[in-house]
Amino acid sequence: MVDGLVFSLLGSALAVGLAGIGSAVGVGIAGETGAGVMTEDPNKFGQVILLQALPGTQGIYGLLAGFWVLIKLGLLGGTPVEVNVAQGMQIMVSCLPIAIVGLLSGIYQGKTSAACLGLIARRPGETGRAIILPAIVETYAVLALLATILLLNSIQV
Amino acid sequence: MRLNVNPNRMELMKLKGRLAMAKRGHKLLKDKLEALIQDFVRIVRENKDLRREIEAEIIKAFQAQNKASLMLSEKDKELITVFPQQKLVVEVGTRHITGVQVPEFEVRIEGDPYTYSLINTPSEIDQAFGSFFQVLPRIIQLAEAEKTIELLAVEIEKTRRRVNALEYILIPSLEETIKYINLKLDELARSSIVGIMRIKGSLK
Amino acid sequence: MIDSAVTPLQTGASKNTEYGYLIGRVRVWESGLLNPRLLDQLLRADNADQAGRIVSEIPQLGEVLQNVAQNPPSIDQALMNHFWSLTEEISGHRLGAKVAEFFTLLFHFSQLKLLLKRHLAQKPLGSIPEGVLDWNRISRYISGEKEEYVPDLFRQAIDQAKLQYEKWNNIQAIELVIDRLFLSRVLKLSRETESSLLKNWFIVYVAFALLRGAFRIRLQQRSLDFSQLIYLANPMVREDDFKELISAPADKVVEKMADIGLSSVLPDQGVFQDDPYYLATMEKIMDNYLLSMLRPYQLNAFGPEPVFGFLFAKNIDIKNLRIVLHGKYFEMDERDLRDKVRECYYE
Repeated sequence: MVDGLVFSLLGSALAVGLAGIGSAVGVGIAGETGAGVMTEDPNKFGQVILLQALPGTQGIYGLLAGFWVLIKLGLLGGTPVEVNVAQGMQIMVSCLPIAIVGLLSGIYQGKTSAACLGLIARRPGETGRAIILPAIVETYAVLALLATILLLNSIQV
Repeated sequence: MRLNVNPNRMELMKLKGRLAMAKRGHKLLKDKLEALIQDFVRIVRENKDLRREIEAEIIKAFQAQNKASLMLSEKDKELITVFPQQKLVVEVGTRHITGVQVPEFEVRIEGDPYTYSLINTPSEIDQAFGSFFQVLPRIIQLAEAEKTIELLAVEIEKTRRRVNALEYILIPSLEETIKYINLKLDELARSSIVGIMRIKGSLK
Repeated sequence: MIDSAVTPLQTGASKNTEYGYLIGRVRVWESGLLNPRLLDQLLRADNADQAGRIVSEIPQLGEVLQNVAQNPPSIDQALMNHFWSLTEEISGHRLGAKVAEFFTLLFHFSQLKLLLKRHLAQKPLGSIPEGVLDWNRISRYISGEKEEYVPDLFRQAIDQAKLQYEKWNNIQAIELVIDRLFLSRVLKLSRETESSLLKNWFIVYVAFALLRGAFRIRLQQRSLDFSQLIYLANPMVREDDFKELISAPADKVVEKMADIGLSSVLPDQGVFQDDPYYLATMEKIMDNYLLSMLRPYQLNAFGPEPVFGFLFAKNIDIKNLRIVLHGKYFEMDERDLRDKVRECYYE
């Protein structure tokens, strides 16, 4: 019982941690460019904050996956479910999609956001289109979250 | 216009002498005037050619300078001109043209015209400096010619005034006076003859 | 910590994303750059007033030239101040200092030349703008106070320049010596930079500068010995080539340029002439070439290239503005101005 739980929690931690790192780095990258833009043109605060926040979603997805695991294990209220080693490993593997994709897509989305911030700074009229580009990176984080949730649901405990 | 003189033989002699001298002077001055005008025309023609050449040269220099200055900031311009290495040496003398003293300049430019960076200046500036370098001595040559022309012109005018004064005033008035004295003397002679004849008649 | 965790996941240099802040600022500044359409409008302006009105509508530039008297010296002053304030803004950043160093060097070396020349011409050294360097100390060193504290680079430059001036008894020696030191610093920048583009750019810059030098030496008919003052070993133009470019007859120059691989900078399909206007066209081609090297990188979201590209583009813009505004002020022919203006960074 103890062994299985360790693996499950490790999976949950990976999902929250790696996706969070991805978002943090991404938001950081976009934020730096955003600060640069705002130094010269403070009126762009609205657009800048929007684009900076975009890479932040991966962290939220990771957190969601982490909670899903905890709920599945009954660790958040209710009675704790017993998991053996095999089940624990299954849960951990299920968490990997959002963990890995969250980390990478967060960073790349941050870079795309930064590039689009440059675009907005030069052509303020293009804000609408500029937001679409980093949002496309978002798709894959959503798909990864979906995969993680489907995988988790398919595990019988 | 008759001169205000006593009509006697003494004066007549004097006036005749003056007239002969005035006529000789008039001829001499007229010759001088001709010579002056000849020189004047020659120098003016030379000067015209020189001026045309210099103008073409200066236009070339200024065009190059204008184009170069488009490429230079104020600081670059100071950097180029702050340390001129060239020295303009002008030696001033005089010479004589038909008795007129005119200036004579000898111009030399010493030193290197190019004092600026090779990689941060536009190349037109070389053209500008090169052209100005060539044209400057010629401008001074031109100044010399212009001054000569001016001095000759003054001299010509002066000479012509003298010729005219002799021709239209002094010589006619001398001639008139001589004529008047001659008439006066003739009349004196006639009246003395008449007097003598009258005395002779009354003696009869 | 994060940096080291991220490194293997990123393509390219690890510090690249740190340029984000500078690039954000650069992107805003870029709205003040000229583009071909604006440049064309400026060239077509009927007079200086109309050109001035067009400039006043360009973001940033309009503010820079807002209350400036409409005469060439004041316009020039305002434009130069604008450029140096941008350079200083970028130098103020930890990474930007390296990117902007090329331009700071350009500024410092020309300042140094001015001081040296004023000193040798026995004119007052005048007021020197405040900056990172203590110009008062440098002025004192130039005036002969050997014990004064002066950065090593400048000490070297001043000593060498004075030495060569005495040797050649020609003030141009100073220019050549200091230009060579400047170029050697540019090569040093090329060795130090992490960006492979800038590495090449600096090398090409030095090669172009030496070529310009060689052709001008032909024009001014200098001796080979004198021209050695400016030459320095560099990856593109070897010493033999440099000497040959100076001494070879005009038709051989083309071959030599093809050997070096730079015949593309020669105007008129490479019929070389010892003519200032021909060389002026070559200078324009060189500027355009340097800018075109930077252009493919202008939209990069990270890395030093867009920052450097912006500064160089601004430098070219100042040139273009000076050409147009001064040209219109002096009522020069539109065609002459068109021959002079450089290409724009953004197309």
